[in-house]
Amino acid sequence: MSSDSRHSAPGTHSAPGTHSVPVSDTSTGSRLVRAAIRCYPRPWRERHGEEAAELGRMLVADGSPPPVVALSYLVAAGRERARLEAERARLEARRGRAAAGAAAAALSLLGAGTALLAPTAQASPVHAVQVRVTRPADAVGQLSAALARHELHVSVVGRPVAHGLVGSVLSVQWRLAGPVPIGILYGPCPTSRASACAVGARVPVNLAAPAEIVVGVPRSGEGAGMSAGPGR
Amino acid sequence: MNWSSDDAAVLRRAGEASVLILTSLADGPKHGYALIQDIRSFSGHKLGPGTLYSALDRLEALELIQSLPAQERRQPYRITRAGSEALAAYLDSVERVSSVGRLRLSLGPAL
Repeated sequence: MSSDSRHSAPGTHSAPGTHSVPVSDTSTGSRLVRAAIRCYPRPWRERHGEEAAELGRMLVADGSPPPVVALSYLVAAGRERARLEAERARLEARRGRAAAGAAAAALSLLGAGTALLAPTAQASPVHAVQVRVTRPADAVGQLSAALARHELHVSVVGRPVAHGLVGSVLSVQWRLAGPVPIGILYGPCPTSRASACAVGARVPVNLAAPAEIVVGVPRSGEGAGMSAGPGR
Repeated sequence: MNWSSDDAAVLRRAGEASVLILTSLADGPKHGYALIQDIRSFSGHKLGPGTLYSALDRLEALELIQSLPAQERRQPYRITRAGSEALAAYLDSVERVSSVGRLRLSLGPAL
């Protein structure tokens, strides 16, 4: 790798291609950095822990104050934990909605009717419509249909992208000056193993001007082509 | 309507650290320490290691970079084709804004 030959570890005199780092693992600075790294969630530590500790040692050996290195890890660990918590909450909320839907279907089948559920649905007034991509290969059609059902003047266009971005919201535009009133919804990535992607949009029901949402669609030859057909 | 480049928008949302990392990886794979050193040399920014890993995770999730097999305890990363395209689109958009800004400030073209 080119970087290894150009960037040898600080404080070492090892031959090219070797990686000896003479910074003691038991030094106070190293312990401080390791303590900060332990604040990351377990999945992150399993993936990056050793590498992060190695990088911390190298930065300290290069003259970075250990508390500064540790603080950087500590802040990022807090953010990573917050991100995981938010993701977990979203998943639980989604499971809750699915369970409520299943319960409603069961009640309906039992003859209880949906009238019993109407007060729940009307409990919170709707000021915005949330649309999410659940079928990445037909993201254009799915979002178009969902928005059309609410008579919202939002066009959805597809842009060929790499596989990992298929089904993701790439950008939102509208014709008036000022901040775009359409919010982007984040969630588990539909076509990659990443934990968070832009998977939908929150559109105000009183949107004042036409807008456009751009979503990723498969490149030609990489999967299903984009479709503007209606959703289910 | 003047639509912005979507690739550029993706990278803009990913943050400045992501741009610096992609720029650094544009001339070949690097591991964390090499990235920090290289970014400091060409931009003057000293990325903290926590910021670095957050950005690396984000870029890998977007498939703009790819991790290579670890060498001892160092994990090298390389830019993907999608990453190169996103970086190029982002740099184009920045250059356009820069040109307009410089023109309006009567600064003349950048060196």
